[in-house]
Amino acid sequence: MTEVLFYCFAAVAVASAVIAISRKNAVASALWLVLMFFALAGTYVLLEAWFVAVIQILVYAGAIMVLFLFVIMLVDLRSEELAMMGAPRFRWPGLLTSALFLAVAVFVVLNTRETFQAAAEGGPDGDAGTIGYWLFHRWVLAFEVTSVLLLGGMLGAVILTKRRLT
Amino acid sequence: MSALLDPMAAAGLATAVPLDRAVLLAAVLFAIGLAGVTSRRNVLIVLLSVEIMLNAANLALVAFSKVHGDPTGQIFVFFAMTVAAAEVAVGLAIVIAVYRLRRTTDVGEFAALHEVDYGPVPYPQLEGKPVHHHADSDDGHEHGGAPADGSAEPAAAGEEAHG
Amino acid sequence: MSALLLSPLASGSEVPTITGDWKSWLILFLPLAAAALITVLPALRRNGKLAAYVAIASVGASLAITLSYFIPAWVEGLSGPVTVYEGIIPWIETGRMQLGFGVRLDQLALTMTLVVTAVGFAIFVYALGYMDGDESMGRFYAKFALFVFSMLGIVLSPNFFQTFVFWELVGASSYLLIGYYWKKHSAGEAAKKAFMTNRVGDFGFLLGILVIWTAAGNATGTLDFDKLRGLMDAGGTHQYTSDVLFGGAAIAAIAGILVFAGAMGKSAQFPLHVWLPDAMEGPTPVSALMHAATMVAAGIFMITRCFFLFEDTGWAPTAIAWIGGITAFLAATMAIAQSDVKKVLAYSTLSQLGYMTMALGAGAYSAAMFHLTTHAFFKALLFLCAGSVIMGCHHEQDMFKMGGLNRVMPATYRTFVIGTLALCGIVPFAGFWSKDEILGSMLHAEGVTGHTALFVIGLITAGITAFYMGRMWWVTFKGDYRGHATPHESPKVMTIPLWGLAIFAVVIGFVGLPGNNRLEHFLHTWAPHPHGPMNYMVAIVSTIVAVGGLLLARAVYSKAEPGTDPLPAKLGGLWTLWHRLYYIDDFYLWLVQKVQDGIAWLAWQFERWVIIGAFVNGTAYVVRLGGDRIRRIQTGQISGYVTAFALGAVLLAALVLMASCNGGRAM
Repeated sequence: MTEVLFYCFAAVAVASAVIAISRKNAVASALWLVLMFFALAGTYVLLEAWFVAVIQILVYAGAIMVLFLFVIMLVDLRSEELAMMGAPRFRWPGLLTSALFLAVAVFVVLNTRETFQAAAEGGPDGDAGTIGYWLFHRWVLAFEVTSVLLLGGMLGAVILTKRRLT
Repeated sequence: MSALLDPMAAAGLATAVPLDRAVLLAAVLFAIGLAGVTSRRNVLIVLLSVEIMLNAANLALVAFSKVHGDPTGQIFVFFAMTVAAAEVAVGLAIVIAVYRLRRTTDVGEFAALHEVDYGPVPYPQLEGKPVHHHADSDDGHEHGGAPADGSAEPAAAGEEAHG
Repeated sequence: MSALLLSPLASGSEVPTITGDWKSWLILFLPLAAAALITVLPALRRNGKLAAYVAIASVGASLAITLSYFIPAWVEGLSGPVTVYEGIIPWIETGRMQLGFGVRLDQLALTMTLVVTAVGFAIFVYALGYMDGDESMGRFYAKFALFVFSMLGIVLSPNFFQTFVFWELVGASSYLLIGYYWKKHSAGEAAKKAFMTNRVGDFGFLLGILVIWTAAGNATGTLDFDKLRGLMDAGGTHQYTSDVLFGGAAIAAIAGILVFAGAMGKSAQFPLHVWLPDAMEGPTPVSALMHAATMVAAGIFMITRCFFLFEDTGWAPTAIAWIGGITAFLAATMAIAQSDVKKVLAYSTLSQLGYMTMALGAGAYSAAMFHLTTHAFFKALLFLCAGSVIMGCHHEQDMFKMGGLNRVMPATYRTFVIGTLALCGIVPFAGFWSKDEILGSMLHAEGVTGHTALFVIGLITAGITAFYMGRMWWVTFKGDYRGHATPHESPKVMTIPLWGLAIFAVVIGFVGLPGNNRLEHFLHTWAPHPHGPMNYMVAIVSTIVAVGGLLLARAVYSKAEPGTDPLPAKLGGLWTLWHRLYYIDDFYLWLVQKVQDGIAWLAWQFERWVIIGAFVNGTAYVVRLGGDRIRRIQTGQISGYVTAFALGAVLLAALVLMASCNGGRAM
């Protein structure tokens, strides 16, 4: 049952990702991406990483994509679409590189299948309590640094977008 | 584990996710993101594709955390998301700043670091003409100056063309 | 410190040799010391007279030391072998090459040294008067002393290598002295011409030395004259064969001719004779010492020195004799068409050098040395007389603007007559004995093809010699003065050396009297001579020819219009040919301008297109082009950069992962 669900979520994720990168309209791309995030969140749940799943929806779909949409709206949509009309949408070197990567990754995974079987049973508890415990015990330094990083990001964003530095 | 803490068991979902497929999925998503980054012209779509790649990485982390039975993977997903958020904020701020300056979001337009075309490479003058007992000695000065002049001018012209 | 070494000679008798004799080095180095002092000390350089005294003193001292060796040696030579004095230090010693530097005084060297120092001393004294008033007399004497040093270096050298070094030095001194009046453009040109022509000869000389070196290298690594002579001496019998050293006459002939090429350059034999008449641009003392008496004789001396090379060499002696004969004849004809007193004497020198070369070809080495000695004295005398005349007529050199000087310049006139008679070969003056010996040896030279023809050529040339000397005698000294200046006799400082040389011009011939040829006896180890009896026929015929030439000249010129030369009218085209020097100079000019410049042009084109065009410029162009192309990778397109970055990462990952996958586990 889990498997079937997994494959469903996987299909949705892949499909929405592909659609997302191929739209001319940036808003459409963003919205399809939101769908992909939800699919991934579902996958996380199936992998028993509930905290991560929730954070995924809250942060990615809820915050980051909202920001994206705001900025996309700020940029003049119509003129952008017109400008992009003549330009070719996809360039083959990039596609080639991506295909190459895919080939390598598939090859590697298929060759190392056996290693994925062990320890599948008895996985970790992905609930908030466990995560919280580890976050504040072992990884507390990183946690604090991340907060500083967020502060820096915030400052940077504000400064970069100010009209005049008076 | 109690039923509260193990909703999967409670729901009767005994069979686990095939983890190799999960990693495979991550790889596929990463490839899709890579394709978007390298081939789209709209910088916002490029940033979007970067997000796809980051998510793929997160998925891989979670899958491996399940493989090893170690929550560290999920902890790092947490951090990764945080960093991604900060990066998106700053990145979009840059996009806005550049848009204000250039009125475009076409990646092809942001190519100020390009190399100038200096035009055709001139073949060097055949120096060392034989000494003829002439009165004038201007010949030597002319030829000595020519190659230097030839390279300086096209540079200025090239910059104007790309400005 | 001196050890008495007995080196075995051919026939078992031993030549006593004293090594480690350093007194002889003074002969060589005193003139150099004088030259160095004059150059370095400003007091000497500016004060010409003082410099002159220093130089004269050094040459005089060399002369004295030479006499201190020569007189005992001469006495010794009358009754037995003559001691050889050596002062040689080892110079280059690498592997098989053993070259020494130093002085070897054997009879041949002693004779030549005496000639150089004696004539040199007389001319040095003479120059004190001739160069009086010249603004850089110090420079003159420094260069002159340097020349004496270089010349003595050749004479006293014990091996080919040192000879070559000093050979070049002599050439350099000649260049310096010919170009002494450097403000005159023609003087500089003449100096260059002399040096270049010499250089051509020296190239042959060097090749010859290399051939000898290669040949001798099979036996022992030596260029020493004595050792080489020993190597060619088969069985110690004084019969020289080329088998041991050269492995046959063919190589020996080539070596000999190449070495002779050096003599051709230095002694101005046809076709390298063109520099000698131009060398008259130098001051007259220079012409007298270098281009009459000593430097040009260096070639003759050198061939005599290595006479053993030319024994048993097939065609080489014939070639040498013919070159000498041609030179003698051509130069004599060219002398007839000259009106400059110094030029006449220059061509006369060429002609007499031709005689000496003929003697060398005939194998009569001591005859050549004899003529060299007598010629040195009377030719130097004649040149100094010419200088005296030039000075007396206030720098006039055209003999047709002179005349009647016999009354105004008696000392010069009388010594000139003595010199002329000596040159023409009138008995009992010195030239008679030496020239006759050459003619006689030519008649008997069986080894030379066409030797009888050469004898006839020599005889005719003697007649022509007498004719042009008589011409000069009559036009310059007899009749009435035709010039614009007031001629006067030269001061004593110039006339005394004239008389000194004149005495020798008379007396020196007597050392070579046939039947009691003491000079030949003295030199026999080093300059053998196929001895033939005194041929009275030759003597009589040559005297008749000479006297006839003089009388003919008197006949022509006493009846001619004063101040003009009747010959051009009488001889027409033939005279033009002689006056234009057989167009040889023009031919060389054409050769250099067209041929040499053409070759230079070819070389320039090669350098221009291949070396500069293809290699230098081509490399630069290729590099620049490549750089330009590679530079265009930087498009500035970020997506391009990202793609490249991603591609690189993917490839790396592929490398690592696939390697470990395949290596780690089999699929």
